[in-house]
Amino acid sequence: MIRVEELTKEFTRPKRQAGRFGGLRTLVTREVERTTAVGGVSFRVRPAEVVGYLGPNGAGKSTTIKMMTGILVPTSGTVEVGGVVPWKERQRNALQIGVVFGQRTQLWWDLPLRDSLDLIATLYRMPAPVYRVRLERFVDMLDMSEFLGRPVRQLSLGQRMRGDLAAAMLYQPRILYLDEPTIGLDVVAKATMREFIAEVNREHGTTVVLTTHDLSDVERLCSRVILIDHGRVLYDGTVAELKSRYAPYRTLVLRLADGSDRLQLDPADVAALGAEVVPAAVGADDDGAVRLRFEGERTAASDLIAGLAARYPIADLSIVEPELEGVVHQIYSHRGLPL
Amino acid sequence: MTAEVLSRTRAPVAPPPWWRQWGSLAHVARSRVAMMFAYRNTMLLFLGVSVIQIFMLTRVWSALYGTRPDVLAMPLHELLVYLTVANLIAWSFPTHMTTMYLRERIREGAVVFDLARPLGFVPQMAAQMAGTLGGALVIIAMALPLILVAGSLSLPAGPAAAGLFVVSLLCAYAIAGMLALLVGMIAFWTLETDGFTMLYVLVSSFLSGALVPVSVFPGALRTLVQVLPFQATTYVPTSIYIGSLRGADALGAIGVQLVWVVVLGLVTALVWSRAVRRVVVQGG
Repeated sequence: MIRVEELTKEFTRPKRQAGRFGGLRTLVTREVERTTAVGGVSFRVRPAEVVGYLGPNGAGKSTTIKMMTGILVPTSGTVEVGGVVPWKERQRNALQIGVVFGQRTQLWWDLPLRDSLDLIATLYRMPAPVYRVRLERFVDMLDMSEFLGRPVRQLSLGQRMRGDLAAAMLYQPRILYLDEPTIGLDVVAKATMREFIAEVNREHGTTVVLTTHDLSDVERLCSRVILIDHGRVLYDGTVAELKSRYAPYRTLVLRLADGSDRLQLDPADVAALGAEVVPAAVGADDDGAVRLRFEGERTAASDLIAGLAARYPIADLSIVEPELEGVVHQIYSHRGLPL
Repeated sequence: MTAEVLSRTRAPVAPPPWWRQWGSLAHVARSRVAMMFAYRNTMLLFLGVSVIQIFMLTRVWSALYGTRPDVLAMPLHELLVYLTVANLIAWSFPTHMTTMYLRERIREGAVVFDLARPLGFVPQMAAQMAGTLGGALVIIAMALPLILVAGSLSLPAGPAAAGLFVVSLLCAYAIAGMLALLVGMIAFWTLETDGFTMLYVLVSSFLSGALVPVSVFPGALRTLVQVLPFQATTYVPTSIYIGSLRGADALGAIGVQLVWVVVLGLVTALVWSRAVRRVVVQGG
């Protein structure tokens, strides 16, 4: 559905001159600063896939999305969306894509929400009965009846975003680009948005490309993630594989019975069972729990627990699964893949 | 159902050219009118400013004519009608809407949505300008009694003058619209248009003949005015209205207007294509 190859976008800006009359000299000099926002990104998205396109601020996510929508012309490389080169046939491409930018709105600020949706239905030449039925369904799914007649400028952020999502999907495009759609929303609004996206994907096979900083969006919606930074792809694969490759460790948290302390736990015993003791983080609250980590693929949790129970008085235990958040945090802060 | 499934698997057919999307254009224009009336008070304030301007011009010229009846080669009542009509025309131009809209859309990056529509951005803008114009004409009609008190109005000089006036006015709107679009598109390069807009409004209101008819400008200034498009936006239709431009002169002036429509059309298309090529959306 989407094919991105060696996509590169460089921005040039007049170089700011420092010092006296800096502003004036900036205006008259021809020196430019070149920044590479996207540097040779390639990936493919299959129909009906929901892909999380992740990266830290300034990684080049929005720039890629803008090139996929045809709004930005790339410096080099190609994008093909459903057989259309977006920036060459911008208006034809417009018919097959829906766009939500969390920081902006496509709704008319001073008009009631319904008027904006009416206008979009006209622009995409929807037959009136189709529009009526779909609007009714969207109003129901996104719980919009209360504010449909209110000017957009008076809506809360959550209400406005629901309106924006409805606007983007109204004409049932086969591709949906969501650029930080849940930014700044409360939990309830987030959940409504996610349900709606999952629903249109399931029902109509809509292909979705989602950028977000909220990894629970990704865990809830995406089968696949593409991680980028500095304009380059760092990882492309399933969420599960990302975790097992870069966060292979499961953590066993256990509390020994009263009167025991963790020093009684012999590291050699633990190692024999295929796990290791996680040193307590400096400055962390000592909650009296011991943390052991083990690789889920090599050590079975049941064996480990049975082995430990045979030697030590265990009062309580739980297993913590690796979190996407931790993996991504690690990748972002290393500015590269951990080994 | 089948059509639905097919549309999932095949790229959509390209939308028709803008001139076959009348429904969309009309709806955009209607939305703009609705928006103007959502800000009724601002619109009335703007009209108030224009009425005051007409009133002041009327008082100043009446006082001047009182001391020197031959100050201009034009009878006072004709001049007063000229000034009233000229200022109403100039007021109805969608210059501020166009430049403000473009600046806001570009600065906030919302222009991305305008570009991702099945209708071109320039036709969308044209429809918005048409809407602004329609709204302005409604407001003028409502304020007519007030305008009659502040300035002076009379009917067009005759049926021929009325017909030519309509043609000339349409050309004037096309020219003023494209000039506004050109000024507004500066925002694609500078992200800022306030200064340019102020300069444009100041220069064009003088050179278009909205303050003084260009026919009374002295030598060099007169020549300058004749090679610029501004007089075609206000002076020409107003002079045809009051009958000071008639017959072959009127037709010639309309011919010049048409030349400007073509020239500015080409310039706008060129600038627009350059602007699109360097669309840099803020942020992201």
